[in-house]
Amino acid sequence: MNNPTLQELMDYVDGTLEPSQAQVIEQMIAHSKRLQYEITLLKTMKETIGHTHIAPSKSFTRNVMNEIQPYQESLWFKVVKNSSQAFAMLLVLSLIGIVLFSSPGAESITEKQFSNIYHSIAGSFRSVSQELTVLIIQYSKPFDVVLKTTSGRMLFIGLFIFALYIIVDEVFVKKIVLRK
Amino acid sequence: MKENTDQEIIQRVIAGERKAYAELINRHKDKAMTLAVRMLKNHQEAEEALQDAFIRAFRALPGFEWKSSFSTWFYRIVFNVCSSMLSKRGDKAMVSLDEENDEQLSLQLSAMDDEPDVTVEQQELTDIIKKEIAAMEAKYSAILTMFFLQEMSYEEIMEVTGLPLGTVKNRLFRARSALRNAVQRRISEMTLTEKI
Repeated sequence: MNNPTLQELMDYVDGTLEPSQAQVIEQMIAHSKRLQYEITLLKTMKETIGHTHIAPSKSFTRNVMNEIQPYQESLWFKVVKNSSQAFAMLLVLSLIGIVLFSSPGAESITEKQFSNIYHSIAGSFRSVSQELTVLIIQYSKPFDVVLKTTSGRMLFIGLFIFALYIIVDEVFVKKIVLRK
Repeated sequence: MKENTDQEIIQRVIAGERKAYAELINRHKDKAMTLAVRMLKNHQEAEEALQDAFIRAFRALPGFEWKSSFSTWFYRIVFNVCSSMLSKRGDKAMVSLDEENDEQLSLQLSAMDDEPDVTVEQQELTDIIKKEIAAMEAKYSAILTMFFLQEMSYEEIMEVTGLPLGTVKNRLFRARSALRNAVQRRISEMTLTEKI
């Protein structure tokens, strides 16, 4: 019989030859050191490749899980986030309402209400810190012109709330995400 | 304790238990990483590709139809991500549906009665094989990895690579021959150096 082909030797190593064919190859291997060498080489190739694993870094699974998990929100964070979103939404709606439906008659009522709110906020500020209040009043002087109208005041509060929301979002949300 | 099957884990993930996906990652990451490293020849890029593949698989999981095993389906994603990275690099080796014909399959070993003129220790041979497969062309080392490490059938390799059956068989044969020749060459060089 002719020498086996390399493909036949590979099939022999893989165990995919017909039993009769495999038997013939086995007999030939038994009488040829060259064939024995070839079979050793092919078997070692198969075993080496079959048993060589390359592992990714230890943090791999955690990294993938972080990518697929929406950041886990704590209860307090959900409350803060949802409240501030709802508040911001209400404020925008209020502003729209004021712009669309304000009339000279309503203006005075709104102004009165606003004045009460403004004073109560200012009072709270005073009780928290006298110095801080002084600073706020000092730095809010340039806005006096704007604050003379109701829309201007609402806009000022809207911007303040919006800035507060951005700060909460930036400081707390990003921190939570980055920490994971 | 009985180990969960891929199917059981996937059902839990689809039902909303995202954490179960970590089990699937741990189960497949090493073999998939080996394939990615064999293709990209760079550990860091391979890890990035693998991470991308796991994220893509997670997103596509609800649409997985079990037409094949999860591993075959997932290796196809890994293979595609790596092929795409190779294409970006300008390496078209994996993409080409080449002209390989079946002539080589009948290659007959010459001088079969000759005694081998070199011998090496088993461990030495293993080391040489590891080095040579790391240096092989991506299209060859990838198919060898799929066949021997992932123990895929020809049909599964077809599914992963998108190559026709004839090309898969031929490429596998060429890969094994190329590796054998490279190992043989390395052993000969070593023996020659020792003689000198």
